[in-house]
Amino acid sequence: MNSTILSTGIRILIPLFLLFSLFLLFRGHNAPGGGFVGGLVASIGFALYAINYGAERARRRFYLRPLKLIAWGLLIAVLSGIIPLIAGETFMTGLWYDEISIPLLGKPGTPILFDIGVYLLVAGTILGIIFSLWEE
Amino acid sequence: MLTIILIGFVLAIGAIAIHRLLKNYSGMAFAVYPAAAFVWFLTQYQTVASGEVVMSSMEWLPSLGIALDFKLDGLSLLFALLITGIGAIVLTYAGTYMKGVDHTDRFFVALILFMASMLGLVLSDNIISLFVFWELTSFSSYFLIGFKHEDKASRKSALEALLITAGGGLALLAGLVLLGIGGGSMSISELLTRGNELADSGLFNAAMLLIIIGCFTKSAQFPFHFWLPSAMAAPTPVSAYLHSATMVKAGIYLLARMSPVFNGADGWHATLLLFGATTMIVGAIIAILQTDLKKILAYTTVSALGLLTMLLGIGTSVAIHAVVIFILAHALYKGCLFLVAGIVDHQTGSRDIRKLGRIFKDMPYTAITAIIACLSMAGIPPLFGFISKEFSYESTIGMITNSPLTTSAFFLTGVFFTAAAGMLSYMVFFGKRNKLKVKVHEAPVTMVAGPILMALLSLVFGLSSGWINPLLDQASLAILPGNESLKMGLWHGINTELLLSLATLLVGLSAFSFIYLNPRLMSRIEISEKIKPSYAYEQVMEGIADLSKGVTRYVQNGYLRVYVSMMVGTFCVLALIILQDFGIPKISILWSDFRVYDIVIGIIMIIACFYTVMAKSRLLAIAMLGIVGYGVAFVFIIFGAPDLAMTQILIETLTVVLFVLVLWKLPRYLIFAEGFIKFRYFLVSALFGGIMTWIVMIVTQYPLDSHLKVFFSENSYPLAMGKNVVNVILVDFRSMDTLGEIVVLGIAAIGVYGLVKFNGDKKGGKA
Repeated sequence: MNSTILSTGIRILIPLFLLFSLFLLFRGHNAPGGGFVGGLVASIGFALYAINYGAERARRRFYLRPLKLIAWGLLIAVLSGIIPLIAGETFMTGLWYDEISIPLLGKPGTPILFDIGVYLLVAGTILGIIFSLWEE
Repeated sequence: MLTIILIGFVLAIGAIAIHRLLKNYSGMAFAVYPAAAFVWFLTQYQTVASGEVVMSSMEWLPSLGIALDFKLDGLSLLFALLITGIGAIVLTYAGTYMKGVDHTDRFFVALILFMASMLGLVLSDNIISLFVFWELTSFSSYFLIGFKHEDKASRKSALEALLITAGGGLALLAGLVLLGIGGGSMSISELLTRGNELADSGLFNAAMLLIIIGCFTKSAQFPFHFWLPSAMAAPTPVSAYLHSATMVKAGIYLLARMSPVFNGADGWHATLLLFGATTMIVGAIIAILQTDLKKILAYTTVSALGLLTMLLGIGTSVAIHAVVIFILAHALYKGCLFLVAGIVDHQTGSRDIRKLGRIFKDMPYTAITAIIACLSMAGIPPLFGFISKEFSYESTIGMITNSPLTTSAFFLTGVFFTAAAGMLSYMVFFGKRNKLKVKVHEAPVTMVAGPILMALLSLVFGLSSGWINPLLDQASLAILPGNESLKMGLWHGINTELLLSLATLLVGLSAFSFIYLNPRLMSRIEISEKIKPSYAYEQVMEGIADLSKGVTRYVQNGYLRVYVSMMVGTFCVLALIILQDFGIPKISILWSDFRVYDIVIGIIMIIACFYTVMAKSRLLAIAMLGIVGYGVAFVFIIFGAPDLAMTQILIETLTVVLFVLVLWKLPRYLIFAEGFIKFRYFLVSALFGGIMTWIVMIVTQYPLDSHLKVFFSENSYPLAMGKNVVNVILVDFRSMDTLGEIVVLGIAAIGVYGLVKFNGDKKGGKA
């Protein structure tokens, strides 16, 4: 598949997609958004690139390793559940660090970490499927 | 004690890094762990020998009565010393033996994992933690047997051992749980005193039988014995350690441990006696028909395990003494002989006694070590094996019933043991000229030192058995509370046992000379495949494979449309069963409730649905399906669920993208469904649609329960610091569910990857 509009546009769109996905990820706690949607949006940019330029090129250009993304996502999600365990709470209790509030991102806490895990995993899943299908 | 075991597990994890750092010296470095543990256990010797028990406890799952309780009494200490002592020797040995072999790091990981698990097993005072360690030993054994994983036979043996020991492990788990329920406690110490309660509960026999099955599989009793000789596919240090000195004795250990509860029950004696004696004789007979050093050792080990089981079945004072003595004696000489077999193999490249011979001068230290160990095996004074044999004879002679039978069985076994000892020493180091093509040298000191030490201990314990007497005494007390005190010695005067011992030796030596002088005759003796239990095992395994192939071929026929209609059909049937009592609810539709855009979206979706079904090209069908999806998203927006709508739109988009990717590769649209088949799919679809409508109609009959809604909206910010209720539910309130879902998602992606990448051709790729 090769379209001039897409191949030119996608170069500009990928950073936008990524930024927007991160925006969705971090605003998710208080407004519509979240890790799942964020992950989907993040993968769309790369997916379009892959469709236009081929999966191999997309992988090399952006150092994408979908299986690793899945693994890391799962690890981070589980980790966010284990941290409260270490702090003496039950598994997956939400813990917040109230002292600071980062602009745009909000207060750091384990639910955010969990959402980041979801984000990575979802992006990895979609890209993994698209890349394998493309290369088949 | 928990610390010692935990250090083992941590070390197992770190072993890869340590091995990378130290390369060929890692074996010795790892040996520090069991050596240190050995020293610690030695410091407990006096305490335990005086009859005290060392306890340590940590709660694990208190609500279920599961705890990490550890108890060190005579029996545990005996095993712990064997595990750590021989462990240190084997690790040092393995460091040299495995030099130049690929993936030695994995080998050490599994070996140390096993060591820690085995320690946990013999120290556990809780049936559940004991079981966990029990299974861990099976797993590490699987990895070690399958170490040469490129070798098909090796993999097969590993699987065989795992299936049999883990299968028995299931029986054991059931038995232990029954024991726990019947006795009302998960603690072994307490259970041992609750034999009567257990008998009253009616679970006694079931628990006993299941535990016996578990122990028999682990300790390679007939007819489960065949996994042990196959397990010789493992590197020799493993055979020496797991498959002769320690792991296979786990079953014996547990039988001994549970003996205070079951000893006295009829079934216990009969079963152990019968299977023990059978295993003992079968093992011994097959052993002398072998020509591979390791196979000879493996079958004599099977036989020895049979002897131990039989002695436990006899269960008298002296029989229990014989058990503990033989455990030690056997571990010392058999571990040593395995290591010697490894040295011979390593230095000559052959383990076949027909090829070996006259290498005494080339490797004198190894040879002398082997000879001492073989003397102990044959039960010749003043070695420890002799004392062991005397006690065994005393126990069989002292039986009230069946004495002649068991005594002659043991006599026969003794004869074959003597013959096997001759084969292992004389035919390897003296005898006929060898057919080796290499110049044989003595092995490095790291390999020889361990066996020498073990052989020396066989000698020392034989000469001054008083040193080890208190420990063995305490061990026998743990098996048989109130047992008479043990008095070991070489000389008991001229009695029946001594005469029988002498006779055993003489007959054994003549049997050996017969084997030695008639190698052709021996090689002609073959055991028919069909009477071996391994044949039955293979038949069963093939049967399972065939059955699953058949079922798969029928159910997984590869047509996606069949799968889908099956799933939908199953759902419809189940839904109909559940919904049959509801009847058709009456719903009144007020047209004035609808807003204009509701109707517009509805009409668009219906038209799109129609075109999806009627489409003549895939692309059109998918695009139409996408429109239906977007319609749903709009519905979400109208009813105030922006999160859902956003996700829905993205998913729809991605679905279309994915479909297009797949379509790219597919042939032109073909119409598979014609006439009746089409009607069948139509029927299924209509049924599904009808049921869904029905469900919606039923649901709208009831007022929405808004408890949860209120709870979530009220607590979302105060409890979870988030204003977006949907997201808070996903990542905080119900985060466990989300975790489960993303795991499924990840697995699905890996599944797709696997299906696509490894479909047909075996070329791997990156994802």
